[in-house]
Amino acid sequence: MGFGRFLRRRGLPVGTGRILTFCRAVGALAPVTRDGLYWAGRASLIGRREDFEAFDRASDEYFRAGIRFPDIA
Amino acid sequence: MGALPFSSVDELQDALGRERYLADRGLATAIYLAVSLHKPLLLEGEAGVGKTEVAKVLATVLGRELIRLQCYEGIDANQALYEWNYSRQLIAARAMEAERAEAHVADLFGPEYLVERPLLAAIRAGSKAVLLVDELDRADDEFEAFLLEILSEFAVSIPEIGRVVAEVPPAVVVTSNRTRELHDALKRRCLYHWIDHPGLEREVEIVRARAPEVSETLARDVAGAVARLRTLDIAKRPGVAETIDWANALAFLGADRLDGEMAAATLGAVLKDHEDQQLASANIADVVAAGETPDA
Repeated sequence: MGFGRFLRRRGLPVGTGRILTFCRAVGALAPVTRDGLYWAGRASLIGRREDFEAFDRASDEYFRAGIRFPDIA
Repeated sequence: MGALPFSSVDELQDALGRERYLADRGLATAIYLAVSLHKPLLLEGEAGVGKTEVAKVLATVLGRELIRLQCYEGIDANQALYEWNYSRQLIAARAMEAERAEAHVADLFGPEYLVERPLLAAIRAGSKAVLLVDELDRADDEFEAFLLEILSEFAVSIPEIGRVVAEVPPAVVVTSNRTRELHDALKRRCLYHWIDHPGLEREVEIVRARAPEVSETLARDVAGAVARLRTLDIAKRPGVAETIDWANALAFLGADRLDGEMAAATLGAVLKDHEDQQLASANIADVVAAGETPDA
């Protein structure tokens, strides 16, 4: 959830539906790796190739800031 | 959900590999999620990067029927969903007595006169199918809106017959060459992945997997040359299929390295546009020379 809002603040068009899909995606991948989170996030939150770069920057920043994803069983 | 023959991205990646489709991590994850979450997978990328192949190999891996809807300019709902078999209806109507025909009009719109098109076939097949909606960017807005409706409900009402609903939706792969941007509403319904031309190492692997008679050295030369061809200002950049064709043609001619003369003679296998061929011929030394591996 926090990650979705984080992306939105960076101007990416991430709607609630997409965030929901992302959560389901993370659940489907469990146990999820950092790599898995990245690909699941890109596939579910982004819909244009042009937004990949912004997504990459944002997810880097998000992880570097040490904000942890909640544990999902 | 029916049991899937794979329970992780790794397993899916392996299964695709056994069918000689080498998917990178991102693509494999996107496919895995699309199938697990019952969401359509939208694949964009240039022609020839292997978008359509994804649907084919997924059908094989899942042991399902592949149902393909090829989009084109002017495609409409009837061509995609169902039509009535008019000539058959006409013959049946003629065969009836004039006054009896009127009483039997309803019969003329029975299931035996219905011509099933890909979307109806996919709804009926449900979880036994993989639906490929190929090159959606070629269809118009109206058709895209119609498709969105189908993808949202996987149900269709045929007034004369009733409502047909997929109990479990089929796996769906939508491809676009991006000659135009698809609408957000459709994109929001899908998982998204952009397929790039593969990097050199991966393309060598793909050639080796798909054309085992091509030597490692030749595969490397050809993949390198194709990568450089793609950087030229050409109209139709060669896809992976062209790389494989070219490598096959060269191997067939007995080549085990790619040189300028050989490349110029066989350019037709990799470039299909005449002007592109001329441009490449003029630059053949650059295309090939840099292809020599440093250790040669």
